[in-house]
Amino acid sequence: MSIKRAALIGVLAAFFGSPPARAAGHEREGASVTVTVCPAASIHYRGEGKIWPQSYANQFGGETSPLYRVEIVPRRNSPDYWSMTLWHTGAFGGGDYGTEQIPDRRTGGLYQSNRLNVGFTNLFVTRHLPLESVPANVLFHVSIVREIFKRDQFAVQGPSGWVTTGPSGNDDTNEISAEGIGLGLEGEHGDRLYARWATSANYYVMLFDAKTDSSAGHIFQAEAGVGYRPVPAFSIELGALWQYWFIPSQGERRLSVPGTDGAVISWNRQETRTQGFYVRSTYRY
Amino acid sequence: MKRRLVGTVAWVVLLAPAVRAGQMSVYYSPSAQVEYEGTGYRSTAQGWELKVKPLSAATGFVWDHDLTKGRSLNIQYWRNESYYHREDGNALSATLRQTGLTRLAFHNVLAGLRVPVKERRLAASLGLQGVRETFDRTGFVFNGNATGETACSSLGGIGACLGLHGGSKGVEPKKCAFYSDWDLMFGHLFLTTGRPRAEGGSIHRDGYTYTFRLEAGVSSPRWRCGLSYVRQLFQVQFPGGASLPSGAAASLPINKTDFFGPFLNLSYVY
Repeated sequence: MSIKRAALIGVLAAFFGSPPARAAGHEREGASVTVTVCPAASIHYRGEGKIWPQSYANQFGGETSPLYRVEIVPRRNSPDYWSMTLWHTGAFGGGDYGTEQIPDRRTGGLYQSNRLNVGFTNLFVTRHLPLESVPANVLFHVSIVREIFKRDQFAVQGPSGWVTTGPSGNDDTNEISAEGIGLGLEGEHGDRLYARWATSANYYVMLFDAKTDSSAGHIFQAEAGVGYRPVPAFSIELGALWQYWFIPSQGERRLSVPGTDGAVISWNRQETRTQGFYVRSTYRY
Repeated sequence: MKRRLVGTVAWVVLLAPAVRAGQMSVYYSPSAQVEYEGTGYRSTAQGWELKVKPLSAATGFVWDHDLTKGRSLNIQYWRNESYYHREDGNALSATLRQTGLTRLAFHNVLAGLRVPVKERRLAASLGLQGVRETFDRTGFVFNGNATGETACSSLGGIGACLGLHGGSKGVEPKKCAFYSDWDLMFGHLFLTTGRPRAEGGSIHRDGYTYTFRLEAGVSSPRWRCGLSYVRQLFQVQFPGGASLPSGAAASLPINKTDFFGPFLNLSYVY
């Protein structure tokens, strides 16, 4: 069973099963800091767009990168509360590079090959509202998301053969950002030993970057885990998360590689899937 | 099909009042905007986008049925009245462009459980969503030539949606009052399918949706009459990219449909 399917079934089972428990944060006042690390998150990326005359879609072998998430909840006096969550993964956090290849539809061979690391830095500000008679919170998110693409070691097909930039040659970093709102649900069931789940769907627009269509895609997240709270102020949890991200952007930008049409460094539409097992630790004070 | 639909509605109308409280609403817009944009992989250079943007009548049926503990069941069905409308392609040059007439019909079904938020006039919803779109295409002009071809294609998706619902009830016993109502739902389509398929493109799985409704009007203990604004989006991705013998596109992998407009609505409260 895939992590995606397991996470979805976990969320649905926990919500509809409603075991005797309390919703996350209902009865605990005070502030908290939660750190989540996916030591080896699997990141798969697909780029598509009109790359004329060479191609339409890229082929990316995927990468493994650590995913970090820090969630801060300020001191609260009511069951409703705010939180701020920062997600990050990418080369800066120790992520690997995968191989991106671009087919050449004219020749049937390859037009370009390069190393690629796909990362992101996403900020979610969330209002948590407890539900009546169900041990769960509804989540309202406002978020700013930024996807970061780092490419290097280009090999590009020119009229007289391959032109390579090599390990010390040109590299490129480009970013896409979007702003959006989302809704979600979360629940925590148990006390010293507990199960926790959360799921969210977010819709994005581009307030600043859009040239034509401001519609900027969607992020869906699901996660579920089991934790242990040896003392009220501290808990540790193991689980799995899955994230789907679709975001459009301006494509067909190229890096100058002399003797070729240039190395492709952006696409019109990108789909990024992130999944992995996590360790999550919360400290309350 | 129509007989079955009428039968279901009649069953609901007759049986529901005997069981519990709730509300059934009909929404109608004589002129709602539908904006479709299909993109994605094409094996030919003659275009990578198709767009059709008809203004058409549209209808929505919404059923809220109260359950225990303040929870309620909410079922929504939205559709447009389809007709043939000019479709334009986007290509390297005007002579390579694909144009034609397309009849786009969509059906959007949502079924969810609403649970009240503690100490607020809000309810969270968790539900399932199904989207289906059909495209009847004719009058193709491709590479400057009328091809005489026709094409029927369809796509669909099933997924989950999360939402918030709010508003003021506005009903006092034996009095008329103003009311407001809104809901917002975001969905993810886990299972998508379509035809004709060609395994084209690399982004060809999953999809996403949103559904937004803002409504205000006058209510009596039995009836509500209001004006609402509805906006929906469904993006369905599947292995499309199929072409007709002439080379004209018959299906595309990335399919985005926006649907929006003002609606009149009438509700029966039981």
